[in-house]
Amino acid sequence: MRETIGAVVRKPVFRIKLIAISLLFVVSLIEQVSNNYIQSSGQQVGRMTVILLLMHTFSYFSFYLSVFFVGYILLIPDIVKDAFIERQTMMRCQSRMRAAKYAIGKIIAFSILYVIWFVMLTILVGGIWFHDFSLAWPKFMDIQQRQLAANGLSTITWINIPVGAGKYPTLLVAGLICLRSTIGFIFLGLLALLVTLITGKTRNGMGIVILLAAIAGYVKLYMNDVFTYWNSAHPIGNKRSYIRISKATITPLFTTCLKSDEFMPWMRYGIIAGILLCVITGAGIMLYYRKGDLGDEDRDE
Amino acid sequence: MKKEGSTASMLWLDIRRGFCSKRFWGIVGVVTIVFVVFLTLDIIYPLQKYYNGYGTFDWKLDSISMAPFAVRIGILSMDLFITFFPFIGVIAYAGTIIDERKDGYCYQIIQKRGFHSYYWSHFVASGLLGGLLAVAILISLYLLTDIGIGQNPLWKDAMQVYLTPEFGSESETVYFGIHILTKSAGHVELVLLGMVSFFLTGCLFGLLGAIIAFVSDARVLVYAMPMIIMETGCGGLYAISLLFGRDSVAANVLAYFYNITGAYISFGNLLSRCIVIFLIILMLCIGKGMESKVVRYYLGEEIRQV
Amino acid sequence: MNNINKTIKGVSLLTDINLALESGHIYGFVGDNGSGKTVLFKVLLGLMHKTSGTILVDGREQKDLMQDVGFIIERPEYIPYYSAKKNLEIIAAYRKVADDQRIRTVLEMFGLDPSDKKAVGKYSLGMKQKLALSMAFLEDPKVLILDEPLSALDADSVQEARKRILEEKKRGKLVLIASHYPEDIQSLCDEVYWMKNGHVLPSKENK
Repeated sequence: MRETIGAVVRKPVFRIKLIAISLLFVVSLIEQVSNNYIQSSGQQVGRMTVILLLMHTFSYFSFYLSVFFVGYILLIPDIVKDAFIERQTMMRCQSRMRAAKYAIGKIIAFSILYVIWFVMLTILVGGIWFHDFSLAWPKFMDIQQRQLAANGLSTITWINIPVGAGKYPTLLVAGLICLRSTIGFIFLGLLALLVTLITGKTRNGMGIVILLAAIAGYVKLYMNDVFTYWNSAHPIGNKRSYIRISKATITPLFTTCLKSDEFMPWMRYGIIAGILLCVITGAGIMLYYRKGDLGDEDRDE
Repeated sequence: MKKEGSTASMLWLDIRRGFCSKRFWGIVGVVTIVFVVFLTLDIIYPLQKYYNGYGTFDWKLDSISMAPFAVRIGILSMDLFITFFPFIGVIAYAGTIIDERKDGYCYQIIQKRGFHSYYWSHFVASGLLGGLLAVAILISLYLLTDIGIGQNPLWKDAMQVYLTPEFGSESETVYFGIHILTKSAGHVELVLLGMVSFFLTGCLFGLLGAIIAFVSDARVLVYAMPMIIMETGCGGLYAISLLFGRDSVAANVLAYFYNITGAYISFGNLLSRCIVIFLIILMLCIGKGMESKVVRYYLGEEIRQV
Repeated sequence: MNNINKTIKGVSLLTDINLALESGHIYGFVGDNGSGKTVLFKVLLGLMHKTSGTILVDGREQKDLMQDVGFIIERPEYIPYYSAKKNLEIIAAYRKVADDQRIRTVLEMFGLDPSDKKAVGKYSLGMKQKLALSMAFLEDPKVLILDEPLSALDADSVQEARKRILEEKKRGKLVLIASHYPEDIQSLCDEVYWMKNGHVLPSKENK
């Protein structure tokens, strides 16, 4: 496994893609960190810290749309298939199930490395900008949490961390956020592999991830997470009801949907849903490896 | 073998090949379907007698205000559209360059027509087809909005109610696209400017995609690179302005990145179109400079690095 | 192999293949493009599921990937930006059966220099084929399945490769070779099977 991952990482095209997406990430991050003094009613009430930046970055859906998803989609051809020695690798696993576990393990390893890479970049940029590695919750977080609890969606938040997060240690919150994202990426990778195996084309694996990301982005940014329908039972001026459809997209696997969402229930939902989806797609992959034809080159690549 | 005129004739062959390909019209089809989804969710579905609340106060509150014209502006101004626009320019023909090299088919052509003809015909064709694809998508959007909304009986009903006296006095304060449509002059001129703008921007990204395709075997990299370059440039602008100041030369140069997108705001902007033309010329110059390196790469004298 | 059939989307790729193959023999499979040689090899390897029939290996039914096999199927497999030795090291790392000495031995066996740092992507077609042969022989497998093993090799290398294959036969290995050209394998094979449209035609004894 280590040798194979090393072989992929050493591919020139893999490095170029990673450098390109890292550059995009860094410039986007600089935009976020540029104002590290938090102001409320004209008063400075605190400063950003590195760990807060980490939580904010991995909870900010726009980052996922413009950087993380794009980068992961770019790397899918390198992650899901051994482009050069696939059959040799497969036969040396000696059994189909072991080959399936190897393929799944490779995706899990890459997804973890992918998140770790961006965590490290965030810590590096944040460290250079803020010089503040404190693990304590800054005072302004109390203000934000109280405002969220009182005013809900109309609150202007300084950083993208949901209500209730302040009750837990910062390391735990950051760890859970990163864990949820990792599980989300593992799911996307496994789904891409499953679709690639079934259709025989890596581009279809990429396509399904693009489709899921696009739907999540559209629902979040243009439909504001809800589907509206007429409800004549409601009073005049409010004759509409909403269904929160963002829960059915991949958004909960990476971030919260609304800033008024409670941290821990939403985190539980995201992690459990992510694990379930990973198990289902993993089972699909194992089934394909057991029943299907292996080692075919990409059809019409 | 006579070589005069061979580049032009090859270029014509490539353009015809690209324009008549399944890929070209498949992309137009897919983008049209995406537009249909947007229009259905944003306009057609709400227009269903506004969820049975036709003509009510709630109906007015949510102000069914998207005229076909305003819908086009809305879609063409969407971040999602602007972000993925470079991809449209690249996908038209740049992938063919990689396919032909992988299959060895390019050597058949090179042997008959010479590498110079092959290189320039594919390079320029990628640009021209990128521009044509962008224009085709714009035309598709115009037709969809004119037919899907403008000719929609529900829309006509909604307009009837909206223009009645009980709504009229307040409709001036409510954004209603039809007023823009009637007040703005030169609707046809705007469409034509849009086509020119889209053609130029699509052409730019097609040329950029071709440059990357000539030196890379990774199709995904070719398709994604222009988009990443655009996003990095736009993001880099902010970073540069922070690091070097808003009035720095670097920030001023990078500010022009915003002007080269296919966004609606660029349609009538002469400066931004001139910048795109300048960048197209720059791409052509880069292509000229790269030609000898690409020749060596094709002839196997340099290892394929990516 | 008993009554092996392989059908994909209604198209029959292999029809009623019945063969008994013994260790210590070399079997040739000859046929035009599309005759089913590669599909047969893939089914034997276990990479493709057979639609019906059984494959027995040492009396036991093979239901999974074939064990202890070296192979070349369709095209040589290698990582182009690594050297030949590094390619074999990566392959050897999976089962840890072949050590560094063995890697050097198989490379030298087929005329490749173990200390050559040149990337395989820069190799000629013949050298890539030699690397593929090295990969197949690397772990001293019991079964060798070789699809067009002599293609792109120069005359000396062809002789050397034939010598190695015959040595494997003497060591009691089972070797299956496929080719378009009967003359390529007539000097090697104990039996030659002719394939056409997924059928194995009645065998013609080579010797």
